[in-house]
Amino acid sequence: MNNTNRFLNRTFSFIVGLILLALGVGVILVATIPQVSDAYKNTAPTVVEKVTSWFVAAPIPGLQHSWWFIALIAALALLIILLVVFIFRQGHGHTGTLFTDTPAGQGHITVESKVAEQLMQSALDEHAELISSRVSTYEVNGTPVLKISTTARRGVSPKQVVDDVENTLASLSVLLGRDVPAAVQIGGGFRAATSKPTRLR
Amino acid sequence: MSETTALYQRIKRRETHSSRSGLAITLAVIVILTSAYAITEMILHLADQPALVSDMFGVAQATAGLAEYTNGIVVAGGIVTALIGLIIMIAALTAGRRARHLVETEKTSAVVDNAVIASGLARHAASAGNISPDNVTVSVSHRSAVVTLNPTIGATIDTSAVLAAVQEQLDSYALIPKVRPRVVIDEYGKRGS
Repeated sequence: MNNTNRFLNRTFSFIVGLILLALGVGVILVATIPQVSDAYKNTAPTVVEKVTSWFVAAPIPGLQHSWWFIALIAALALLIILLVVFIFRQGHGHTGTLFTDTPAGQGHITVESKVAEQLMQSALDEHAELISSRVSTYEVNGTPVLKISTTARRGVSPKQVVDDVENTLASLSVLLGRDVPAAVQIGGGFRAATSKPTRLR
Repeated sequence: MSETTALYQRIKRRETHSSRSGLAITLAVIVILTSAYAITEMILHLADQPALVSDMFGVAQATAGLAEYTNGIVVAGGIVTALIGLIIMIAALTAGRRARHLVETEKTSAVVDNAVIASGLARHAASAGNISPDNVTVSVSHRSAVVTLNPTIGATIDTSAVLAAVQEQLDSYALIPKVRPRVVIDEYGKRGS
């Protein structure tokens, strides 16, 4: 429902996994296969020497330290900022506006999501087979969609819950004068386990 | 109308599959902490302060000398690292299906947790088998529901009646994908009660 970039999540995880796998396999190869081990013994110190010489070759004026440290610190700081943005970009997608309308020359109408949310909420609170329900509005592909999360009492038919919610939605669309797309989610969980089960019907 | 259908398709897919954000956030935090540590070491080095663990040159020397270390520990470390990497890659590539089913309807996009389906089936199985709801266990997976009855010793259970009741319930739920019921009578039975 929210607009988390799932592809980005997977790409990022994949790259981290790939790096770890490559490192692990590299270490195993160096430690177990004599040819690889010998080649590593020969080349690794020269590579380190070379890199160290680059560091020495670019000193900060007046100090004996290298410019490369500054560059590395900046690069890592940038990486940290990007990842923090990435973390806080998860979730989101709520919208406060359900729809706007401009009836012919009669001004401008904005209906806030709260209207639909509260109407749905108070209607669903009447149903005995639902322990609780939560209504929120998300924007999916530019369309506001009502998200109705319910906790069903133990033993309730999920189809019954869906039908009840859809009937409530039908009343809502009569009230608003237009259909509102909706996503229903029925869960159990702790509150269902600790409250009274339903009666058989 | 097809616009709404496409919208519901997207929502249904997203509601029944994991976003993998837990994994991504965990990895991001680990990378951030590692980077912060590296930055700290470099700044300490620039300020001519003693390193926390080892400065970058020390790390480079140690890496270069990798082949000289005790073999067993290095190999074990390599295997663990490679395995973790592999598991992360598999998690990134697989679908990550959540324990939920779609309910067939055209007016909304509806998903239901498997636990809710199971508790509905358990009530009806208990009533059809004429035993206490406490002695019925139901587990619902993607395509099957296993109803386990644990009757008091000596009681006879009409398995076909239970199966019929469960099947009838499943039909009325209109789940996607369809769930096939199976009824198991616990052979040891329950003493007392």
